[in-house]
Amino acid sequence: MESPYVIIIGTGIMLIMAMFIVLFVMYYQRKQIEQQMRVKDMEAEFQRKLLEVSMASTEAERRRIAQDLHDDIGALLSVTKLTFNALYGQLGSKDQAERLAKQVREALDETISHVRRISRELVPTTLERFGLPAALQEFAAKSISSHTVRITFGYSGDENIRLEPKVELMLYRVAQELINNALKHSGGTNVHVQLSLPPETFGLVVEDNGHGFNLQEAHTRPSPGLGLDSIEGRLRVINGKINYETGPQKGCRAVVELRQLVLYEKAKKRDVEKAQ
Amino acid sequence: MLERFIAITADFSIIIPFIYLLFKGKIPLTISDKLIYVYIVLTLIRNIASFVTMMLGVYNIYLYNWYNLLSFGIIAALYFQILNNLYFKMLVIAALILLIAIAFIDYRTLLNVRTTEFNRFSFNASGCFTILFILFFLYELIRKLQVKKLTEYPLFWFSSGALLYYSGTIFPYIFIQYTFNNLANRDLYWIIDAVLSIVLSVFLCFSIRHMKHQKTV
Ligand SMILES: Nc1ncnc2c1ncn2[C@@H]1O[C@H](COP(=O)(O)OP(=O)(O)OP(=O)(O)O)[C@@H](O)[C@H]1O
Ligand SMILES: [Mg+2]
Repeated sequence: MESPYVIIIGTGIMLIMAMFIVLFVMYYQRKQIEQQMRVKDMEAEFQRKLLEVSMASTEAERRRIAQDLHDDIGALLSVTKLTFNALYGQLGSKDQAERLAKQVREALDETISHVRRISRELVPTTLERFGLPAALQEFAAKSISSHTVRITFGYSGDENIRLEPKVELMLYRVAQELINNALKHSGGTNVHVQLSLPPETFGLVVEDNGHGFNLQEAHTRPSPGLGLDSIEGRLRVINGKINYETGPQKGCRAVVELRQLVLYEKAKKRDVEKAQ
Repeated sequence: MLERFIAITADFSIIIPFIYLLFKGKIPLTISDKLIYVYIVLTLIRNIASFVTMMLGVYNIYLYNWYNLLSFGIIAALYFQILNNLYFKMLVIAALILLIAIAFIDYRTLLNVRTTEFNRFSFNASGCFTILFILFFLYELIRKLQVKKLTEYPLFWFSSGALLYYSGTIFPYIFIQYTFNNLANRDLYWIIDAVLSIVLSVFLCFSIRHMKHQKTV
């Protein structure tokens, strides 16, 4: 009978088919995974863009509010004060009226200085003019006055090196939140901010000697704060990463790094200083 | 002479994955890994038993007929637990029951220790079912894409090796009355089986190589 040939040919065909199927599965699966990765990358990129746009618009909004506060309300208040001073001159010297008038003037003075402070805080002008070290130093100094915690600031590297404005602003906001968190939650007595600028690699460290926290827990808490998330989001936009070295009773040390560094104009600060 | 050499190599090739497994030491195995382990041990036992009985000149076809049923049971369990598709699970159970029923049509080959005949139906039925399971499994692999690197997935190596083995041996099994049960040209078909057994052992080695604790499909 012919069965030997049937069997041998059949076996050959089956083996080739099996081999083909295995290779096809491997090939197809790889292709699909690659495709999936590409889609994921695109989604991440899209998210990043979205975040960037939304943050940029927040900053623009702040700038607008600051300007309005300063130009409109501030100006109006100043005018009001002048008018009031004129009125005060005409008031004669009734005791009661004089005391009230003094109060009104003090309130006006206070309001004016508040408006100035708020509009300055909304937009970090020091940052724009003098760069990160100066802005962080100023922020640290300002924070000291209102808390019982010691804040120290140090930096290394070339202070005249400027990063892209967008990057600087993001880093500044990140540092602000980190310092605020340390003041608000750590319960420690010392907060140290250390900035290292190029020519060394860039790095920003905020550490405190408080009681630390559990990162996992902070993320999964039922009503988590916005701070940590916004730090993540900002760093994603400027392609940076943050690492917390912390644990219960170990203090907290947050290290911010940038994956790539875009230098802006070096020595811009000097130019600005000369111009003034 | 060469044929004999291949046949003996084939019988002993299963020792290599077995020793590899022992060398691998204690690793946390998934259920799939354990079932592959059992499959290897079962095959090793069959090969040793058939070698010993051959040396002693005792009938051993009986062993093969039972091994076929048991190994199919392991494969069925393997794919049963790995796939989460209800229809597929029912299909596996149905296939298992059907196979046992089919095998017992030729009950003499299972109950008589001195049988000289291979079970006429169970070999190709189990082969067909196994191929079906594997194809379904591979289909699910590329449909769900839960495994990132197939070449590092033990069950993928096992399935590929088994697919080659079972699809290569299915033709000799279909004509089992004329091939294995026909003493005159039995040797010719042993070779196919033997070579494919060696291939399967190699694939099993790759499978073991990538066994580590990991998520499965
Ligand atoms: N330096 C730190 N020391 C101790 N705990 C901290 C520190 N930084 C953060 N945490 C913990 O992590 C939690 C989350 O911080 P996050 O900044 O996200 O929220 P928040 O500060 O409570 O609110 P928000 O920043 O939105 O005003 C905090 O509630 C606090 O328990
Ligand atoms: Mg906070």
